[in-house]
Amino acid sequence: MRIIKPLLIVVFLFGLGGLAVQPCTSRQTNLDCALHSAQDFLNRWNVELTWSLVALFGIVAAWGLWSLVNSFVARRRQGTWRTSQRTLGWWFVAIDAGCVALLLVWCQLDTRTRLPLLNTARAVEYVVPLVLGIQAALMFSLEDEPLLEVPLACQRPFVWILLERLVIVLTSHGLIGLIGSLLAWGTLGANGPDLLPMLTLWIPPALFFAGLGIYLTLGTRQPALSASLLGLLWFGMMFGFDNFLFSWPSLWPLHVYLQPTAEHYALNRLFILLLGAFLIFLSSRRLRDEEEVLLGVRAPLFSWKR
Amino acid sequence: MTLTIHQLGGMIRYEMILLWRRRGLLVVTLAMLVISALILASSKSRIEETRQQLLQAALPADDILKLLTLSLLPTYWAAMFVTLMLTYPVMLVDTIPIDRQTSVRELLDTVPLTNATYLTGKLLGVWAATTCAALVVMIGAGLLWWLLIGPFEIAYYLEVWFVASIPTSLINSGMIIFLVIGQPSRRRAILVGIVFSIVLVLMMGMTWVGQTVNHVWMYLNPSHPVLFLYYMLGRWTSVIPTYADIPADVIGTPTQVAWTLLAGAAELAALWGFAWLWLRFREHR
Repeated sequence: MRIIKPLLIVVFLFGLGGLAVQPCTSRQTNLDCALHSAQDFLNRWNVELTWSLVALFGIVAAWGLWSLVNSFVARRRQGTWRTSQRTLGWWFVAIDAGCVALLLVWCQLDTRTRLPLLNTARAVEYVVPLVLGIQAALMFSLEDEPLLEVPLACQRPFVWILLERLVIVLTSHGLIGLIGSLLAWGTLGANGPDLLPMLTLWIPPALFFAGLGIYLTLGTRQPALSASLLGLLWFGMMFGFDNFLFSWPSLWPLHVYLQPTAEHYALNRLFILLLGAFLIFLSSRRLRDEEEVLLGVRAPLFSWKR
Repeated sequence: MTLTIHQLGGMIRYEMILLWRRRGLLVVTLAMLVISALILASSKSRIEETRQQLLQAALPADDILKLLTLSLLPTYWAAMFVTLMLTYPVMLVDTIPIDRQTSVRELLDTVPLTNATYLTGKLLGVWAATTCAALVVMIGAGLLWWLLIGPFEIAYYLEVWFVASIPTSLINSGMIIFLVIGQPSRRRAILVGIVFSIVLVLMMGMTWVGQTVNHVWMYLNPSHPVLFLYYMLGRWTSVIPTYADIPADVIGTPTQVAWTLLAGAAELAALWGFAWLWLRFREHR
């Protein structure tokens, strides 16, 4: 429910801003007027707005990364990488690698159906962000972790459990994505796109889905819900958002699977990447509140009972 | 018998409350309403253009209403179908494994609750909750449609929900809760649920690779391609003239839809039997 409030505020502010920019005509209904005004507002300002958000997310992500590196350097002997790896297992990595390989082979062998989905250059983009996001959503659920009190009582920062697992997930799936991209690039040869644009197709969505998965799981304490919402979002973004952009072209910054031919492609990739990093940062901040970690309720900022 | 009915009533009631309190169903219901609103808002201008064209063609008012409804309903049905197929199996999958994870199963073993009643109670509880969620979405999306776009053919809309969407969600949610009967934890169950969803999508994908509808595998396919194709195309051939050219063997008939639903119910019954046998096996091990 906490996610819905900021979303509603953003929608309300966009609507308000839109109404301020374009007054309603007498022929429009109130709803039409609000929708058109919000769209007009976004059309005019979305590049500037996106750059501002990119700057904000970038500063926050850089600060978070700097703190993390310092923390790891100061306590480098306290890592539990092997335990984290054992907890995560290899199932998701195997599924990811299998699906990428299957899709690449299918793209090569299929000469009969010619389905638009069977695109060698996009094979990694279809699979890796989804599987990575789902594993990130399931890797650290506070409801399913045994004996949370013990790691909370240790000197080692509690958030390291999350970050260690995240690093392992990102590295393992990233390697699969990289190998898949290299294979696709090698297969397509001179006819296909360059390697760098192919990498930008899946790296920002992968980080975004990872960040969103963790954020939803920690926020709702329901890994199943988080995984199913990620699946839904993936499907909507992959197969439905292009149609949606016909009606609302100004929403391009939110398109997780925007293609390189789009006008503001580089800015979109940066925005999606940093939004993912920002969500990871927010999730890690959430784990600082021990009461929320253990009981699922936030400690009050101020109480008269003290 | 009276005890069994009381037990079933209690299980249905508390399972429903649990599912709503876990917030998963609530959030997915809201997500489906948001998706409906987005589809309706993004289709508004297109439907308005279609309305103008139909008015210029001087068609009867009833036909215009039907054609306008059908310029959106198949797309809306596809979106709802995919949402139900992708989210419900993953979201409801931990209904039984959570009892084992929290040691409720051991407690239940000490009370006079038979395995058959337990499984049926779980199934009916999930069905009650999913039906409520589907009805909320149906009514909410219908109101949004009326407000955002205007009047539509309510009979078509209700038919899509009651013959296709709700049965699909009931069959698939029932299948997934019995499929994970042996899983010891929620995490493992969710993994199975995700694999099940992916398999459903792949099976749906296979529909497009040259299969005809009139094939036994198409009835047994748990992604219910016959239902999907029938309400995307086949059902509307009598209303939309251009659909008449599509070969009949790829769009389904009402008989084939009935067979698909029957096959789904049979699969569900088979899985119920499998789950019951597994529980018995576990007791006597």
